[in-house]
Amino acid sequence: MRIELSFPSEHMFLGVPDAVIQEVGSELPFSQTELDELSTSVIEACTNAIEHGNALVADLPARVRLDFTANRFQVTVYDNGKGFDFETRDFSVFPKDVLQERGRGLYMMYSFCDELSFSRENGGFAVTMVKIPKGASESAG
Amino acid sequence: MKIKERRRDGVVVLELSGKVMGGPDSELFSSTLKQLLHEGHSRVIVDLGRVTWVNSTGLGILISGYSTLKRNEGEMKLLNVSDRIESIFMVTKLYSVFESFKDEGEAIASFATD
Repeated sequence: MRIELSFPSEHMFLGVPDAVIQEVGSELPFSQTELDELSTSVIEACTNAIEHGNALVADLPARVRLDFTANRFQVTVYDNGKGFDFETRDFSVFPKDVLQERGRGLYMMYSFCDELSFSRENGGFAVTMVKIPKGASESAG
Repeated sequence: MKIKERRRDGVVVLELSGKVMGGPDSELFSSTLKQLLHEGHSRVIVDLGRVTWVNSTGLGILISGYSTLKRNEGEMKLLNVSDRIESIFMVTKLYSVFESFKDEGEAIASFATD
């Protein structure tokens, strides 16, 4: 099943995708921890989308597509920006300085998602995050 | 994000509520701490019990506050960190930086033993 939404590139709307994920996820076999981890990752992606991709231009919407089943919750966030050099970045590397004030968002996304991917499409940039409920992965063997 | 401030036993408790993220939150938190330091208060507890979520920029705001107080020989400790925020602290290793409590009395008492 799919839900698509878009919101203006303003911080006040960052809670919208979180609310949708929590609401939809509550009907699926995900633990609260799994939902929170996915939500946290999506909020990071949306933050990057509005701040970097869309440069906080309110008229430029951030778009979010949620595709979900009982065994998989996939969220893709789209913005109008050029993205970054994801092809050469290693997201598994923890930021050098624990106390640095920025630069830990991608690491958080990498840590919390079962799958994380990036792409350039239609002149913009997309981040796709996937969460698979533990029960589903165990039953799949 | 909203901030409610109260004082107890020489310690300032800042109750944050809502979402801690980028944008105007940064200036609000920063100016609140600056005002406290100006008034001579450097022992601060940040109560996150009513915070819905924090993004990485919000973490940066807390870290900036922590560093500002440290530079001024003060201390910032956390109270009522939810499971959701605690998992972020674990992944980002910030649990090794921030002292965290579930009880306000214990948090306040900890300043006396520092």
